[in-house]
Amino acid sequence: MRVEVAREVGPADAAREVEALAARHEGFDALRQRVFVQRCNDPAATDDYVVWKALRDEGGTLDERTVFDTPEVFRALTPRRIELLEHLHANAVPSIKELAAKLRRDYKNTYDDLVALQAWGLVDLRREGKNQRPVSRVTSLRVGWEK
Amino acid sequence: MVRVVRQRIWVRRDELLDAVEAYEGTRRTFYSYTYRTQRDGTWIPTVRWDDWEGQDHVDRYDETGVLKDRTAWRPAILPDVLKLVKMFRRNLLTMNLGDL
Repeated sequence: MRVEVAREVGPADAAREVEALAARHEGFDALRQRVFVQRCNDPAATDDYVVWKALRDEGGTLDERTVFDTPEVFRALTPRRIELLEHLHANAVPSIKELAAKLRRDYKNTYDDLVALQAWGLVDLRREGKNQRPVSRVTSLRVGWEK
Repeated sequence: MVRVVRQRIWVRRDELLDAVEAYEGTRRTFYSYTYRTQRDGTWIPTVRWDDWEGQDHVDRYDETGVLKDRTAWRPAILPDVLKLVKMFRRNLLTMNLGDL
């Protein structure tokens, strides 16, 4: 069984991706230096360089998919957590507290569910001041059988 | 125009394959498929197939994520690599990757 999760990477997401790359590598030239001159053999650096270069190019785009080739993911995708994902997909939420209030759920259970979803890469918890803002990384979710 | 497709394929809770492919039109200009395992909460690269600088090869890393050896390989495609990862998983660390 496969569960496929897709995320549309729009211009705002691409800009955020570039910001994150810049924070991780201290600039594009520094990353290029590491990859080509120092030959760092760091897989993440090479992949980041390819992504960053594409996003710098005019018209360059990024598609992102997550595939779960293991039924273990269904431990994470409980009905309440799918409800969380759906809500986050449709609504921008400034904090976990507000999300819990919107869904009329206990704060701790909501937090625990978000952390479980984050472990599978389905949710980002972005630090914004004192708050952690939950953001869904899912724009579509499809379950199918492997051919 | 370059289009990058980034995929994360979970094989188990603590094992995954990260795929990055770049395309110009329909031509694939770069690929990397990195099998990672989780140790103490950190994702460590274990085996990686890629064509960086036009050289198709497979790299193997030690338990701390430091490059251990490199072997020439045929141009890799994602379905083949995923099949190998699912079949051999951590045993890839001790196998002769050139024979696969």
